[in-house]
Amino acid sequence: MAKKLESLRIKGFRGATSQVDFSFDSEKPVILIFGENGTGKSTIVDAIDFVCNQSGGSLAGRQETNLKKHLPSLGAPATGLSVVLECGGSEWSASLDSSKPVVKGSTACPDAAILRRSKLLEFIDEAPAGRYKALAAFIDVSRVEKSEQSLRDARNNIRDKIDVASQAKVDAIRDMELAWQAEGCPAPDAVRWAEDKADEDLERLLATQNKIAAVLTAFEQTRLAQDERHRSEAECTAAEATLESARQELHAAEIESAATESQLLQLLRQAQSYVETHPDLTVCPVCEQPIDAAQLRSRIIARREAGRAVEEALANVLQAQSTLDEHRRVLDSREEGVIRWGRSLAELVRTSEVAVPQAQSVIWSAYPLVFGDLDLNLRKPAVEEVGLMLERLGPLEASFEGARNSVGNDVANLRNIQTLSRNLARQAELLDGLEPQRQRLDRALQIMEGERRGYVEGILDLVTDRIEALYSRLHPDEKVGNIKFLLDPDKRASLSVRGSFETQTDIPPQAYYSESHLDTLGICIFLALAERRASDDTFIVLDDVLTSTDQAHLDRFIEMIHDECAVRRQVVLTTHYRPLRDRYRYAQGPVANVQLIELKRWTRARGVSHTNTKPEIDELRRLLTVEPLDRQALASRAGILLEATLDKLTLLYHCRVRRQAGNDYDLGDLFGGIDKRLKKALQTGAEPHRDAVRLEAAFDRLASSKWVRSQVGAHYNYTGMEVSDKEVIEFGQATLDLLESLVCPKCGDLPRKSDGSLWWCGCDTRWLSPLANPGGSVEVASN
Amino acid sequence: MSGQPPKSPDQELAAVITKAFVDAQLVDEARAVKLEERIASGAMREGDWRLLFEIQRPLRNPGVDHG
Repeated sequence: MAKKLESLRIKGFRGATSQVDFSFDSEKPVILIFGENGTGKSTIVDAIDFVCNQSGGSLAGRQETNLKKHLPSLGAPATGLSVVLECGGSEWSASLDSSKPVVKGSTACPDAAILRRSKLLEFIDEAPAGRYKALAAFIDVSRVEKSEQSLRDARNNIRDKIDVASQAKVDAIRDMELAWQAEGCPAPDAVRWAEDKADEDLERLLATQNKIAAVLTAFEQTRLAQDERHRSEAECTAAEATLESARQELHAAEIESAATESQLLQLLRQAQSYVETHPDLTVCPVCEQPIDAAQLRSRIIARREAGRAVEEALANVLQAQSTLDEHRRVLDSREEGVIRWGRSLAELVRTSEVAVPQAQSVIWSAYPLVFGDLDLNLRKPAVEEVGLMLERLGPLEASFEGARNSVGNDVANLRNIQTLSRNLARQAELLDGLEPQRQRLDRALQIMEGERRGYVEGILDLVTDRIEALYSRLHPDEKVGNIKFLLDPDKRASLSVRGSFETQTDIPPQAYYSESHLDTLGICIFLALAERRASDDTFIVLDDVLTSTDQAHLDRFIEMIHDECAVRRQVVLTTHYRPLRDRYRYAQGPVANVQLIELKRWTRARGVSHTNTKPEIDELRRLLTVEPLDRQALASRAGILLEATLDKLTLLYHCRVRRQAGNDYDLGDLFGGIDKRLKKALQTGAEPHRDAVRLEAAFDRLASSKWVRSQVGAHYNYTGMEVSDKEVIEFGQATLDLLESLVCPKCGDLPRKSDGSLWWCGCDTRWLSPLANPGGSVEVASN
Repeated sequence: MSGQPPKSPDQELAAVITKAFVDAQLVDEARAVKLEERIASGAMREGDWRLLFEIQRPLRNPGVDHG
């Protein structure tokens, strides 16, 4: 058994306007806190929630509330709020810091799994996605799903790459086939042909292409050189005409200026230039006579002025001559260019590897000047020879152009095939690498999806099996149940709930079940999930989850709580449902295993207050010892306890009880239900088949004293006053003796579980026989 | 509180998946521990998976019972 709650102190928290302390009996697996509405049950549960889950409890999520303002008691400051919980020898204290719960303790808080009435149908009424969310804490594997998604992305990515590579491979093969067909299908298949073709020497083809290009360039350059030569020749002719014109103009100027001849002027200009560059001259460089340089320079200038017109004409002649000389030099160069390009052309055509038919018929020896050394004297004939040769070779140019186009196509085709072939090989290599990787990713994804689904469904199966076990305890033979949670295979995080009803299976329970059946289903779902989540230190809190229900269901609920839930961990029940409390008080449940706490009326000054509720059998014992004797209380208490016990026995043995309106049987009616045969057969014991006590004597004793109940315990009358204390005590003691024979001293319960031969109490200590009413005709149902 | 904290659903499932990978010889034992942690924490990325399965190792035929 896990650690137990030991105490809870609440101060300034919600309804606890004053400090309230609860001491819990750690020997009791169930704590039942009973209180009318408004006495503070939710305050207690919220306080536990506050410490254990650091939650605002029932306030959390409510509109227009905030913890700082509404968690402290009305009018109290947040600083005065305090909750202290003691469990398993450790203590945790919680307060409010700003609007957050702050918990102090030496170890982690115990875990409290809390179900409130408001959350009862959360698992059932929610949409599938919401239901999954509600269950997420138990089955959510979102991190693994995230890893799974990245694995799926990786697999899809590889698939895409494989698709692209496969398509590229198909495209390459298709293009190869087209090229292969264009070539006339020269090999058995396109791929083999392309592979062979791709091995061909592209460099050699490119070299041929370059040679053809060189021939065609030579044709073009030779023509260009010829054109340039023609232009230079024309420019020379024009320059010669200009020179001739300048000479004629000089001649005319000389005639007009008899004083100075043009040659003399030219001499004077040169003499002036000499004198100016030799200013220290003292002797004439021609006649070697002494001279005055300055005087000589003045004289030369004077004489040149006299022949200026002649001089200008002379300058024109000189300029024209210079221009002509330049043009002639250019012409010479151009002619050399014609010869050089013509020779290059001839060499390229003559040695060309390209098969041009017309080239075979060219008589190269007819152009000796083209191939011979360049002789300046033979330049012009050579130029003419080039012209003749170009004229002869002209028709070949078209053939070379055709060859250029043909080789160009061959180059393009070969390049295309080589590209396709390389691409095909690359894609094949890529596919070879990707395919094993895809297989691994596929396999890994298959494993991951399968394991994840199996894991989640496994948890759901465990949970639903447990729900079914709990629910069938509450509703045996009622044709409800078979509850299943189903993952939607097409959606992530979507959970459906299905059950059966009468003959219908796989139906949504919320569509067919009654409100009370849905309530108990909600409780069972919560308990099953809490078990799944719980650690050893978890305790369960059910906050007012049980509403009006019939006696049989109430008994089964109590049995389920004690037998299924409180075995491993402590259960705190709060309720406003009085029959639940009274089942324990009147020994209709294992009262020895429950601590009964009753909340008193709440007032603002007092806040939440409580008292421990005693089982009625304890109260009967006390009343038997009280002095002075409280006759009415003793007779009344004994009568009610006797009625409760007989009610249980007559139900257990399906006794015939005189019918009353509203099933309000009195003591006499119930007593009459225990007939002679049953009374004689009834026996009980503390150990299996040992210490048997026959109950016949106890019933006979009560038969003779039961009238005390009405006379003393229920009415005001004179005869009642005449009843002696001894008679009252005898009735009370006889009732107590019967109860002590029947009620288990260990669990405080009456025998009510059948093992097929006897009835047993909840802890299998106290037994009762017979199993069936020997005088009854009704078959006894096993519970 | 007592002993080892319980494994989260993510951790439990990651352990199951990793063991299945090892059994299927997709992953060797040496890598399994780290892989389990990364799966459980959701840290595995697309590139991590590709890298993990790029490594050339013999792959069992999923359809064949290898005993």
